[in-house]
Amino acid sequence: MLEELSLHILDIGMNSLAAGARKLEVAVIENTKRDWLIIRLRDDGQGMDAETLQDVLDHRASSKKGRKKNIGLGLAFLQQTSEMCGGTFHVASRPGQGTTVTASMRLSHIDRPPLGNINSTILTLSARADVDVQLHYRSDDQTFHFSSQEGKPHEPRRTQEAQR
Amino acid sequence: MTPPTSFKLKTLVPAVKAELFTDASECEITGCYISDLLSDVLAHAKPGVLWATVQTHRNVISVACTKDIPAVLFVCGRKPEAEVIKEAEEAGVILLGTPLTAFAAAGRLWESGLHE
Repeated sequence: MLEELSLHILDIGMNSLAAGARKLEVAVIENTKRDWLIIRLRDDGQGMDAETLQDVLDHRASSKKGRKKNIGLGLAFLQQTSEMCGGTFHVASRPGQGTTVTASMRLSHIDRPPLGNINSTILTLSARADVDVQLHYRSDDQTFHFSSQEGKPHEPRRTQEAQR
Repeated sequence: MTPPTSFKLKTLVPAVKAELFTDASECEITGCYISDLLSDVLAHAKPGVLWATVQTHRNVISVACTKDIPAVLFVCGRKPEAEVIKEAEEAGVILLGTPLTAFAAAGRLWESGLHE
């Protein structure tokens, strides 16, 4: 568990970049009427097979006997936060088909961490010029969309300009 | 720089009225760190300390391993699940529980000579 949900998103988003993702979609959905907050990260990275995924969720990324070191705790931390705040946690992943992490929690749960600085998180993840990082944010009826590739010249147009 | 004084954990058990969830016979600690936020422990706890927390989730064991924290003290009468105790035993992390609050436990540990 981390101080802000944005730090969970940053942590898991960095995994997507490390997994070679070219597109990372982050969705944050708040529904006050139903009292849900849903966070979803979907990437097109290398994905994981069932065994690797289970190892990650069971903290067995390092299978050495005795003291475990340098294990990735990002997914385990978000799972703990979700379950502590009355929600659910799910990871879907297949080799070559990317990974989708979905975490829900009660919006009004007293232990729910604040969303925090989502702007910094998305900006940090967007530092890689070759990855399209998208944020879909919905709070009841209000929506906001960001793509790190917006406004950037598309590849074909650049080629046309080069030909002129 | 003088190395930190270490205390046999076993000798501190009566001071905090602790219940042992795993065997603590050989464990030595150099201080105590109190936090319920796992990322804070990852960032600030020193290796070798006793970690006092209300959190009993299995992630506590993984964080303790990552930071070379030999023992965890669950305060306010919190008890870990059997599965968490098993994981701690496998990982070599000692688990104790106390009915005291973190504040009261810290006070008694301080009185026992643990000042780091």
